[in-house]
Amino acid sequence: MKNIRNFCIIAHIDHGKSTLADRLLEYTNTVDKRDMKDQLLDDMDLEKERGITIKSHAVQLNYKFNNEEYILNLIDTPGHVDFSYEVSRSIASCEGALLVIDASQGIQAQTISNLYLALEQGLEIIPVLNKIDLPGSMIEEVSDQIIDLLDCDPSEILHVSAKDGIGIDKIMDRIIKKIPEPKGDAKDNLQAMVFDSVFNSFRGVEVIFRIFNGTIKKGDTVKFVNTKKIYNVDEIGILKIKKEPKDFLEAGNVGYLISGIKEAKEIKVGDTITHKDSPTQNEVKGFEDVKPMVFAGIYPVENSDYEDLRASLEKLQLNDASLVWQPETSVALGFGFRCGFLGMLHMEIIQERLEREFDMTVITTVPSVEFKCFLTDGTTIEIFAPSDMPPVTNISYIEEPIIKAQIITKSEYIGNIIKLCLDKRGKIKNQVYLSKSRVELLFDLPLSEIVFDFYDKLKSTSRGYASFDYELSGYVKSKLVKLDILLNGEKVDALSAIVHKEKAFEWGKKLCQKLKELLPRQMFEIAIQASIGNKIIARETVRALRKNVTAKCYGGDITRKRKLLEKQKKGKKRMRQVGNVEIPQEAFLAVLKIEE
Amino acid sequence: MSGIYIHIPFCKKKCHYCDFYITLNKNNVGKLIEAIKFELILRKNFLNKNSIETIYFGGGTPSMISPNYIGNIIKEIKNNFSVNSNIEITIEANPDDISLDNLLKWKKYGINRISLGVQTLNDNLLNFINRSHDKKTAIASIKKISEHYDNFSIDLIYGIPGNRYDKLKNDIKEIIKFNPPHISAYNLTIEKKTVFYNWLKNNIIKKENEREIIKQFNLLKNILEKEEYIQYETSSFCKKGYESKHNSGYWKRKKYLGIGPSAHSFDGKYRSWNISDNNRYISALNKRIIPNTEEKLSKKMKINEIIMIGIRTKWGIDNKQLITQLKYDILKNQKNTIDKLINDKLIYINRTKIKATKKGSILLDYIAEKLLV
Repeated sequence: MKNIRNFCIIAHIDHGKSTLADRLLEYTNTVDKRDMKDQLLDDMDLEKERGITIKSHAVQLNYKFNNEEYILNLIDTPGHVDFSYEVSRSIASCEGALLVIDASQGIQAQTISNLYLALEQGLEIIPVLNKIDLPGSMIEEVSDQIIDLLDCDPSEILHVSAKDGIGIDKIMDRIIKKIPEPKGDAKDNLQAMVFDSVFNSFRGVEVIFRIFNGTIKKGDTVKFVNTKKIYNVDEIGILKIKKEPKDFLEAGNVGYLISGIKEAKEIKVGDTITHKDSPTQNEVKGFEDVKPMVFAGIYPVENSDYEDLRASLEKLQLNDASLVWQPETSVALGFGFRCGFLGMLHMEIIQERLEREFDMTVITTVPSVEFKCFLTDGTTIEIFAPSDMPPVTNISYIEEPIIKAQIITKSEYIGNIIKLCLDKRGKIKNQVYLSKSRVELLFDLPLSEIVFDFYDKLKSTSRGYASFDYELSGYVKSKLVKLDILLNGEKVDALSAIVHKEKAFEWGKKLCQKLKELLPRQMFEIAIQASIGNKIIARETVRALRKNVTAKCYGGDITRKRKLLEKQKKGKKRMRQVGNVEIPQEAFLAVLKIEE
Repeated sequence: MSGIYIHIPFCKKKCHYCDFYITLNKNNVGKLIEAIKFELILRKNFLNKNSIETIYFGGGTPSMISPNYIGNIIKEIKNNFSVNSNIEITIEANPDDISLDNLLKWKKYGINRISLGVQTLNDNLLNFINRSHDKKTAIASIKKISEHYDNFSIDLIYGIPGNRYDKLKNDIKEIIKFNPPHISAYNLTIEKKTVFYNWLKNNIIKKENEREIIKQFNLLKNILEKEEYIQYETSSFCKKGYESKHNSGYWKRKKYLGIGPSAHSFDGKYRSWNISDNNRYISALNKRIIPNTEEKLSKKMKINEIIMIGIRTKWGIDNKQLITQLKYDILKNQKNTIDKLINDKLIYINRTKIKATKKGSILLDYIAEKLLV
């Protein structure tokens, strides 16, 4: 155990976490230069393209230092607020963390909240200033921010360029010397924590865990404390770039376990693994059963693809336990599924994975949160979708979820951000200067306002210099109404939204205007109306299509014209016929882009 | 039965609507012509020894380079390809390049058709779209051409912001006095990477009102129809027997070889296009490399081409052609879509052919999009 170091990397998106991980893999010869590709640990295409880590990854590095062999377990964590619970469990599996800050960007909200998590767990923090070679780097200013935050000595901050491999040796040195060896007793009862699981279609779920105490052997019978499930350990091993089976693993180490588990949802991140016959008395603290925060309908474009969509969602759920769903019916869209997601990014990821991995073209409806509706008869119902809303006369009152939001920004954007949050019905709770030019703002905000275009607006109003983190803090009473949209007189239930009463009129108007832009002109006129109950509050008209021909000179360039038409056709593939009106996918999300 | 297109990428000025590859730098005209000749030789077998029925000098402005260059290129083609005796050889020309000397030289070298870029006869609008000629020059050039050439075409643009129905009417009347056997009338289309696109984005100009454009298009059609012009493609009108053989080749999916920077070629299976950069084009050809990109057409792409081009012509989408060449029966496979389009009075079926109705003729992209596979 003396020679094991378990560490993670805390960094904001684009601050160079995956690149640094690549360099560490190279430096320790964990991967051959020849086999090296960028962002090696991010193995989903989506992760590579977006430069984000969606799932946790663990990899073992071997390193010789002062003639001693060391085992370094690097645990790569997701970098988005939607996955903050997974991050907290990864952090709890480590004794140390590299705090990677982009020298040209400075510290961001996500980084701070993860850093606090790491400090709470007592991790040794190694501050790393990355991208020091970039022309825009502000080494002194960002160093000051780090010093303020960690109360450390300037000499403790490592200056690194992960891209060019500068300073990697110093990081390795620091990891060995500063990060404490794991504590624990290999002879004690088994106490291990699940911090990730990976679905393998041939072998079932691979459970990734950290052992705090005891020893796990191949063939053992183990129990998962929270799910109370019992399994036979068919295989255990360590995680190199490929898995390496072992006969046993001891306290302090990180490894995987295979025991024919069929579905990812059987495994809960944060759960404790112990032996069935000699269980530990100490469950690993901090287990939470993560609940979805955002809900939206997912529908096939063609009704006949309903069963295929169900099969695809089932398969997705095999490796994404945080996705939940149940069948739902919409008058406009037919049969589909109401799905629960951890957050907006998670929702986007699921939609993209359905398309890429399962070739499903889907329509996603306006996201909603979970409202609590108290009825006049004294009962309470949960509302996940506008269609769940009972008639107004039956409602006593409604409660909506509130979050504690933390925003870190440059001082010059404070005004804009406060205005945005007030527009979103937020209440400012605190304002703290982290340095001369960086401010932390704390707000109470309704979660339902965050799912409507909050991120995009925050980004534009702060020119990208604001980072955002949140946690659910409770429910409060709120005046909410259901806003309906009618196309040529027919109510399109999938376009309905639950909005605050005071905003409803303006929303209705803007939504109609937005829909007018988004609905393709058809051979007849389309009336767009917004209503609350039976009252029409806004109207727009899409004129009938009269002319659509490219009468330009394009010579022998047949290809361009063909591709253009094919692209247009493809864009309309995701359209849904409601009554006689064709509605494109974007229209179902118009409410999100209402003020663009 | 094939054609050769030669792209001459030079202009005096760039028109504000133009998104073709052209340059205002005339320093390397000589080198470019040499490179074009190299390309002709390198690709002499491209058309599989088929006889050449048409040659088309387009651009850019082929009329602004010395007619000797044009002569050299035609000579090079004749040396390397088998050329049909009644070949159509067209040159695109700007009114300000029409001198008697040019007209006679071109004729001597074999040019027998001139496509004149008049666009409009309104001096303000000519200035607005950044053409280098005025009305007077345009009229004089049409007159001169009509005196020396039997076959010529006038290019017009309708839907220019600021133009009006009645002004356009006068333009057409003035032009048809010279009895041009062919008129191409294009709708001003604002493409990315043009001055107009920029202006539109910055609210300097506004898109022309749709009703006005439709009015202008219908006006053109009505006048030309009365004067016995046949609309054989959405933008192309001609007197009987005066279809552009070269352009018809594109629309009938005949093979063609495109020479010069940014030129497109088609050999029946592949479509390819040359690099849109004079210097890189010249340096590649100096190394005897053809700087092009090609795309093999899948069955689906071929079907889509036939649909998209066919609906634009008076010949229509020929189901017999689709069945024999591609084993695709559009009338059977797309029955629902076709029935709906017929019901909307946008298309009709004449034996094996799908054709656009008058109402459909201004909704061709809508129809094509519906029918694409």
